[in-house]
Amino acid sequence: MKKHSKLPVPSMALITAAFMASLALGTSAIAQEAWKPSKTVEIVVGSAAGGGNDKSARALQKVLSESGVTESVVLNKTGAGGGLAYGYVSQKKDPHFIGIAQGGIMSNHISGRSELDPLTDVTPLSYMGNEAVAIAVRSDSPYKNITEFVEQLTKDPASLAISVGSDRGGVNHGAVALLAKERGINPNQLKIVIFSGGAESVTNLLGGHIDAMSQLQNNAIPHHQSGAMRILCLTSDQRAQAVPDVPTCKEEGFDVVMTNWTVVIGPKSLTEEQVKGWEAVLRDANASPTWKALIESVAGDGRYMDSATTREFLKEDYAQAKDLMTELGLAKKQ
Amino acid sequence: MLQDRSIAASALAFSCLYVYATLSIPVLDNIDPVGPRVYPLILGAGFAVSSLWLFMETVFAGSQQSGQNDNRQDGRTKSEWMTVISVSAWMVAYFMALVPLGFLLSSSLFLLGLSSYFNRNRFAANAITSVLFSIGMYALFTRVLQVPLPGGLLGF
Amino acid sequence: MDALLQVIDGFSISLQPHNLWYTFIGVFMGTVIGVLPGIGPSAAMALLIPFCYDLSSTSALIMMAGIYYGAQYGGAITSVLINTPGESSSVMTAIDGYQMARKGRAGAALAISAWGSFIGGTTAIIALTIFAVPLTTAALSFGPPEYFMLMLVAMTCVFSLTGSSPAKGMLSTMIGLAIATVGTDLQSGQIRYSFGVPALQEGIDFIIVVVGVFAVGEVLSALAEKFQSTGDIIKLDGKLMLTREEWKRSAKPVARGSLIGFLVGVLPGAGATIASIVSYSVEKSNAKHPEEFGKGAIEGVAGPETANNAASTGSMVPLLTLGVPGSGSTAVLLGAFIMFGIQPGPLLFQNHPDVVWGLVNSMYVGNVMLLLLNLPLIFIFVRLLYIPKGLLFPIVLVLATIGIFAINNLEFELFLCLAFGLLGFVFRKLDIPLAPMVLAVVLGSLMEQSFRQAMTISGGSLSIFLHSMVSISLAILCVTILVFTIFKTSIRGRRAPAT
Repeated sequence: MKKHSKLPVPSMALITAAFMASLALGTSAIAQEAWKPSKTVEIVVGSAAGGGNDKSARALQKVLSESGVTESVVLNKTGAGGGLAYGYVSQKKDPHFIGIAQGGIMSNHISGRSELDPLTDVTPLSYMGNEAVAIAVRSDSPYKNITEFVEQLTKDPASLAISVGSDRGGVNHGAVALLAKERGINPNQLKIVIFSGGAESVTNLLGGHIDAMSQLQNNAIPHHQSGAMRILCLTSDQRAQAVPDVPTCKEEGFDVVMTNWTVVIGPKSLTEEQVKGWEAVLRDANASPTWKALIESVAGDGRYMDSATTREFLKEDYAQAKDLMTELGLAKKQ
Repeated sequence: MLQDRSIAASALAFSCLYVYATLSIPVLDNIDPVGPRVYPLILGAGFAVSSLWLFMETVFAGSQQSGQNDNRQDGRTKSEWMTVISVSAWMVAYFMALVPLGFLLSSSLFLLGLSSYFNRNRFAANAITSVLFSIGMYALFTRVLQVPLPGGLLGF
Repeated sequence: MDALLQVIDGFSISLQPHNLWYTFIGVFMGTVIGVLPGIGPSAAMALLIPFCYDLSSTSALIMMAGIYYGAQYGGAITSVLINTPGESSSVMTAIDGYQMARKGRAGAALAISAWGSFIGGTTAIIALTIFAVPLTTAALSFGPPEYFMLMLVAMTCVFSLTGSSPAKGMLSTMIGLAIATVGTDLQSGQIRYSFGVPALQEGIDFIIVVVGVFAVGEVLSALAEKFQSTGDIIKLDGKLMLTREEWKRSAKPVARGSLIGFLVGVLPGAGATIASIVSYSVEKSNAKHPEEFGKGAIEGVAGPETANNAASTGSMVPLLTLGVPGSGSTAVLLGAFIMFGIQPGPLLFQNHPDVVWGLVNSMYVGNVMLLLLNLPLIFIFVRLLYIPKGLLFPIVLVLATIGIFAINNLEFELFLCLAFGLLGFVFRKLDIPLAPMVLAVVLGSLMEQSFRQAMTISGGSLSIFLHSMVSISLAILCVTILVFTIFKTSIRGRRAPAT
């Protein structure tokens, strides 16, 4: 529990560590042992306990403890769209602080809500999976597929009320805006109703108060399975196992891929060794049953990417998000 | 009644500030018929209405109410404010010490300080309660509920 | 008869010894969490998730649900004893509950809270067992315009019960609504009134306002008065528990509270809070002596405490039948369901009858446990009143500090909480009621956003608010309450201390 004590007191722990180190030297491990977390890790999330990516953090906490890597605590720091949490991790000089980031780390920097630049101020450690967006209508809706739906929008962009949770410029809004753009519709003309979360979107769609929803797929899949809703397409690059009958938007001729990914980040200043160490730990975590269960619970895609690949991915994602948000009038004016 | 009229005046002043801050919110060019400003502007009007209403109440009720604000009352209010400001200052010190000193030390000191003043002549009981309560809460949160609290100098 | 068999089978699951044990752990933790200001049931349930991975799905859900409804019991305790509601749904309880404590009837207030919660909770579970599926359709008919009208009704109720000066009540409400506009505007994504402070971008968490205004504000006022009026220790007076007279007065409020609570609770949204508001104002307008409200009327404790518990059970209806959580705490519960690979929704009752009925029936057991746990605890909790105030009040400040800091780990929010404490102190001095402001903070954002959502859907036409029977009826109700209130206050022009 004791974290970053600034006084250089030769504590019992230090003495023990020195003793352990000499033991280790005495045995076979003289060869450079890879870096590993050696004390309690703080997993920082930008949402309150129970909300947003807190669930991922708690799953990771469980995995790290189960696999005997290290004990960890989850620290919730809400504010500036996650900016406070990531900023807190960014400045640490200690690799035992990590954060769980999602798309908000991009959009909030682009909109100017957060000062933290996701491409330079933090070190991406690993990409841990993603979840796609589903465009869904009620099953009694006249629109049988995404083409018919977008055709109607081409006739009159404001003719259908589309719900989006939970923020303007987020992944859910982005998905439907990109679909509209694909057919030359100005996304600002769409009738977008923002709800504070997927649950509200679902009730309002089922209750007939809105015409369609653009929402992370976990909200729509159970209702698609029960026959209350029809998912028109998913914004992933492959079909979801839970609903094999639903096409991707790409298959339907819309070049739209937009997912809500989960990336583990670390402080800005990390050594090569520490990044490698975290990569190894997180790769194992990604393959663990607990993590797989978490991904499965949203019918998501649990693919893994190492630090360098993640960095490249984030660069591309940032560029796409920035273009779109500029068009939506949400990017910070330079 | 003078008091209620000053409340009414402050409410009116606040509504002006609020409306002024509202007018600086940017409005986007998209389909949002109401926009981010309208509702706050309605609230601003609501402030003005409640302020006027309160003023009217003082006018109508003025005759029934006798002035309570004599000198003794004033002196009492003053000493109350002194207490409130001192306690608040002590709380500010506590908040600033919370992370650097850690929860255990800062809370014990905070409790000991306040109780020595408000619960005088029982130093031993105050000290024991302060320390035991802080340790108990720290253990409850960090051990049982798994909620991290600042460890600081004495964390366990 | 298949369904009946499933219900009975559910009992055999919830009565298994290990499930009884998890029910107990859940309701016990719920009570503890409810007593602590700040940390609410949703956070507590989220914190427990890692411990649940090893349990069977039914046991884990039973335990988490126990925290959820157990917290409603605990919330009343601090409201009554130190005027500090731990959750927004206990704000109404504090109004008369604390006054009862000051009159020496703390034991009675706590006893009726426990009994009311038990009866409300149990009634709601029975209703849930029977009506869950048909009620879902009714809940779905509430869209943005209906929610906006519902919020208007709630705000009118709040405003109607503000005691002496309606103008001050309105002012307090407006301040609350204004506080609720701070932060990122959901519809436009624009940040409002954050003044460059990053922590304000997400808005002001209502728990900071509740803890600040009630806990810190109350302590500041009490400490300030300490050296003027000496020895203001609250003593218990008469019978510790309820007298026959108090029972008689509470019977109808409890019955009405159960009904109101369950019905309001079924609507996704701020269920329990609105239920407690509506119940309080119904009791006040039905009372033989409405002037006693705000001065320690037991009806004002019995009704809301019953209603908020019935509502928290009622909000299990949309959760189970639609997979739609109506509040932060039920959202965490939904997360727990999904984590175990169980999707609440239309198919839940067919696919996992053992889990549903095991869970629902554990709530009967849990409510009995809570009653048995809370009644004896009254003997212990009323002892708190005998702790010297000079020691008790500093302890409350530390509790408030932990509660706020544990949510976000931001020192800024502690300062904000203190600022609200000072505001609470000033309001008390100026005789401005506090409850309207706090409730407006809780409901304000939902009110604005449902207005905006409705207007976007209608393309800017106000007529959408009169499109459905539901919203028309709510509009009529709202106007009736308003007229009634103005009429009543104008014929009874005398002053009573504000709450």
